[in-house]
Amino acid sequence: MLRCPKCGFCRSVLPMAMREAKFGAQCPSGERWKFESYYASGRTEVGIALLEGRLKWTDKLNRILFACPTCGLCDWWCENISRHHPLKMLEELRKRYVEELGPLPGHKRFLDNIEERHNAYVEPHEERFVWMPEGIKPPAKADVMYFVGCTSSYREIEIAQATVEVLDKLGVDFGVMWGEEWCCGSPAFRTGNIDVAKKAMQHNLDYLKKIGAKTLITECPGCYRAFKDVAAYDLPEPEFEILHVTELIEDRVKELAKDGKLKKIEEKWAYHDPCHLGRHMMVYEPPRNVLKAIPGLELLELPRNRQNAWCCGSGGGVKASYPDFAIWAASERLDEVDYVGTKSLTTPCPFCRRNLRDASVAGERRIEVRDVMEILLRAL
Amino acid sequence: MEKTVYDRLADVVGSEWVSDEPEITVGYSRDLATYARFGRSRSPACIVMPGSTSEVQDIMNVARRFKLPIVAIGTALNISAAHILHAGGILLDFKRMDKILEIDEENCTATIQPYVTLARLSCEMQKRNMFIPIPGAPSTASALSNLVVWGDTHKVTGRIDFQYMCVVGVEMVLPDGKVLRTGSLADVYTDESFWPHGPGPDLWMLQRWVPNSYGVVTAATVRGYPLDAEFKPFWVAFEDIEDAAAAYIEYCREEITTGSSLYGGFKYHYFMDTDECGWRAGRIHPKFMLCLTLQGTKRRVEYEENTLRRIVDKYGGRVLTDRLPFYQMFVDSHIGMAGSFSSDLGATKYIFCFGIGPGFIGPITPGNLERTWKTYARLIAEDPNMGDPEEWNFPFDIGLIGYPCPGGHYMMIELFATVFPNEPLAKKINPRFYRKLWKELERIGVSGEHGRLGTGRSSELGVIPTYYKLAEGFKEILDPEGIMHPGEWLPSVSYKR
Repeated sequence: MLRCPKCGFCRSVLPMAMREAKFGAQCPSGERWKFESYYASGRTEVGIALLEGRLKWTDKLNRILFACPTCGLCDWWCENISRHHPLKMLEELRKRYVEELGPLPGHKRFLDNIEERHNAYVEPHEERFVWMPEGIKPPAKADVMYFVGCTSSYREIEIAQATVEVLDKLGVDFGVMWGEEWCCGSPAFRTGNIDVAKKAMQHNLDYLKKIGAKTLITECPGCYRAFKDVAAYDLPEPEFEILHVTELIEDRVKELAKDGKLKKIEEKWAYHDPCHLGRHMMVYEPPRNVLKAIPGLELLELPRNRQNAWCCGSGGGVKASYPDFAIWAASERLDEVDYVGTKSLTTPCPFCRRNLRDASVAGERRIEVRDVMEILLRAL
Repeated sequence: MEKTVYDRLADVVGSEWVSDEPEITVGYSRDLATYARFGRSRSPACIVMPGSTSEVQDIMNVARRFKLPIVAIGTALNISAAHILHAGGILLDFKRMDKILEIDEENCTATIQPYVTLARLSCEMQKRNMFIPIPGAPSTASALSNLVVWGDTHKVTGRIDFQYMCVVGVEMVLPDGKVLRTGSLADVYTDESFWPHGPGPDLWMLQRWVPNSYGVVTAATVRGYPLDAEFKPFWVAFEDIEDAAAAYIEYCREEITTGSSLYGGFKYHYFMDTDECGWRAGRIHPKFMLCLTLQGTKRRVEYEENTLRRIVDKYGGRVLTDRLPFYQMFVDSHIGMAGSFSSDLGATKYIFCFGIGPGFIGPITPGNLERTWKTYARLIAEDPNMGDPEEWNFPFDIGLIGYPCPGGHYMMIELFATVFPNEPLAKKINPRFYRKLWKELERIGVSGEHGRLGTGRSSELGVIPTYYKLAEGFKEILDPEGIMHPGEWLPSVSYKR
């Protein structure tokens, strides 16, 4: 933590990639509240003061520690510049906060649900797969398993439906975990509630090991990162390969395009990089390649893209505890969509999609937000 | 903070933009100076975020009324503890004043607020085919702070002059709440005119080297330069300091290039994808490199290239590349300041990747470059810790950056050792090494003054005391209560609380 030299790169788009001064800033929490303690460099001082006992663990720290969507821009810069890891530091401080004062009320709700109903929403576990389209009945055991995730299962079911239909049409032999699919634990990992998260993830890992899965695919980047990162939380490294669905289908879609078997979609879609998939996991191109393969579709890059992407604002437990801030951050992103001259935004993340759409509705922006799978399905 | 004062401040800016909570104030308790060398870490009593010049005036009146110390920060990136108050006080954070107020394409100027970063200003200027001479600071630094207060690090040379010369107007709120405007910003009679340093008497250099001492700068107009039709950045390598220094002096005297820098030591990290690449490149490449940028008309660039290549041949150097991408070619090889980088990741290898270890920043005559480097290298080698390869586990332990002042009569140099300053070994070495270094450099006729990082202090220099004497006089007149950053920069002016 002492390595933070206050260089300020944790709050800036890579200068060489800056195309518009008004889209040059980074760090949603810092930009929203503006005091230094809401930026990584200031939070580092908060962390040092807490460890040295100059600050007490009180609920005044709530917003400083938890109103951060953990987008990881600061960590990306700091790792390269000063070998400092502000995001890891923040997650550790959150863990300590939970140990000292317990989870935030907004987080307790989904934590209780993860434990009781195995999902992050107040929904019955047995209804996790009610969305499954008629005529598609994936097995509970297959080499390729599709992990749906809570948001697509309960809130953004059209994404789950589109994903299984795409897989089906592309001829992928895949299975789903049905009643054995529990929350991946991502929201609990991100909010410092590690025990709850590990318990949920362990169940999933045990089941996938039992059935001998060779490849796990997810559409939700939060789930993707949770599975990829298990070793960081002292869980056994999975023996199966973990792929985002676009990584799996990218080549097949390109082949179809080459053979002229994709329908034309003459529309302009701007692309939003989900932080969990992009900055955290470095998956930038496969979703873009899937979209680029669709004839007629014009893919527009937002001014802040790839490692410089502005977060949608919903991750890291923010949507549950600071919904207004989540909408504010998403609205900032929608400004970029307006800037590039379209009213259509796509992203390969159900959680981003949900928050961006909420912001569009709240601000009467009339920006359509769709998942990459939904668009691809139209082309198949 | 007293409730009366707090309420007054909240009344000025709105309660959302003021805080005296320790969880908030602690975020302002350190800066790069603390990181680099000084252990002092202190929180202000209160943070206030003004949204306009008139709010700054009102805040200043509150500070004066209650005799509270006051200090302002731009982007909080400075190397001189410029915003760390000695005790309590109000800290003005300018994040709400982050606008480029105007870009005047006809006169090539931009009027900016304090929180506009160099990157943002540069981005907008380049879109309009202009560039600004960026001072020795990363792109995240406040353009206003760096150009108005410092602007003397000579990262551009020859035809462009010092960076502070591009400041053509300043708006400053004085401790009595009045607004002082200088240069073009003071010309209230003719809206359309451009009179860089008129109508005079001009006080545009008032704040140089004494940030936060006389008042708070709330806006500045800076002059840009038209982008030239042709540009060509060169990296030229030399095996030893003698040849590099000789070539460098010749380039300075020929007055070619708009940007030139001399790099030695760990420079390769600036443009490699990984540390490992950097170490390997360093082993196989020459140790010293000149980054030279040519620009102008086609004829001018041709002429400069011929001269450049002739000097390279004369001193046995070689051109590493002349095919770098354009970013901001007028200053080379610093992220945000230039970045003729071959990869994005390489661009992230700014000096902070190693920190500023025991070293030196200051002016020297170019003729002294070779001796200065050798003295520094010898002291490192003789040091019981740094000279021991078992203990000092850095493949490239020292680095050099040099950039000439216009005309090449003297140059600024930075000497660095690669270590994180807060690590225990650095804390052990620094005091001992600095004493030795200063003594040895003074022996060969080198002293320095660059904020707190120079080896020479104001009393040891010939010209600087006169400047400080004048500055103290200004301070007595403009800040008689001594509320502006008391105890700093002008320490002989006592704080009269």
